[in-house]
Amino acid sequence: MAGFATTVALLGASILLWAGLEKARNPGSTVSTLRELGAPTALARVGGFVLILAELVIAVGLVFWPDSVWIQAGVVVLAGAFAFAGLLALRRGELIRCSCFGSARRGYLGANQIKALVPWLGGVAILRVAGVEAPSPSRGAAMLCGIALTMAGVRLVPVLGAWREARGDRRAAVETYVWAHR
Amino acid sequence: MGTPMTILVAVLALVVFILCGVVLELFRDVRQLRDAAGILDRPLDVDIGAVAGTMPSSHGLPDALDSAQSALVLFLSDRCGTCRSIAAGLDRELPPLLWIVLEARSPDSAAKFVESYDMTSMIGDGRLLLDVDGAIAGHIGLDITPVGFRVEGGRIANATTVPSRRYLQSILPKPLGLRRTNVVSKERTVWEVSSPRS
Repeated sequence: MAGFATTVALLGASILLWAGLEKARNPGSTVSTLRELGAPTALARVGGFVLILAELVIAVGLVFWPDSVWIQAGVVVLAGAFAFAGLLALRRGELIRCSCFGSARRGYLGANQIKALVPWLGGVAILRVAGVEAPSPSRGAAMLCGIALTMAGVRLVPVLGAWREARGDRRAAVETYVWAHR
Repeated sequence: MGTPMTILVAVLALVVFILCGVVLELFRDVRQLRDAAGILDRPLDVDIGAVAGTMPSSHGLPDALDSAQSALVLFLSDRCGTCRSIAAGLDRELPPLLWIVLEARSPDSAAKFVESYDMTSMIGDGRLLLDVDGAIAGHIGLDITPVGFRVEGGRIANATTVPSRRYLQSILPKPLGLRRTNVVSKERTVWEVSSPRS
């Protein structure tokens, strides 16, 4: 059970780390979403910064201190905030870009964020019930390293595909130009 | 490896993750710019002159094409970079209604090309032809690649350049199939002709 709880913690950490880093790469997208939800510009900027920081801190916290009440509460607060944003979007009846995983992904706020509350709360419940223990610093570091390397590897796959496609387009453009102007 | 070193590796991996995201967006931007400039997947019509309306077999192409209602004959060359990109994207089993003619400088370069892109099984299928001395391409008067010749009703209809694998997928003829809808009663059986789900 403890092993399962650790897996749940690491999964949650991976998702929050991915989302936080993608938002950090283009914070403007998150600010824009908050503004569309009705927040004033200044508040949206602060809110965006706080959200990104919270996701990253809680992600790291889930790796090193999954037993911490503060970290678990942080997960609940984040999930609640996402669900609230989804609910707001539904009430406004507008298509508001999600920016949950940064600007690269397309998606809109709505029922998905509300539905996601269930697995997030379920994950926290598992951590509490299973009595998960904080790993040693070296083990925690190794787990974080494993998550980071996996994320980098997963991210590399579409980059290689896009590079091949761009190279093919460049070649085709050159060859077409040469043929058309011979 | 000590904890600080492990943390450093983790941080570096996360930096790689972020940079990969940046690179991915850059590639998407480049594609968007190419599309806006009209140079993405822009095929050029090839004037085939007297070849239009002729039977494919009269140019050395397989007899099966003379009875094909719809087919695409793709000419590739071992000297063309776009051809290699297209070949790299082909599955081991060619899509139906696609024939390929590979023009090569020599039997060795043809064999290397086929092996490099795992196209050996296509030769057995009969829909990959090796045009080592350029007999077929020369007979047609073709001196650029990749070019796709469309065959309709057993006759060569037209030809365009094929600038990418994406474009090739979009112009491949798709076989039609029959789909029987749910029968409401024995007296009412409705047949529809529909395209297969791709």
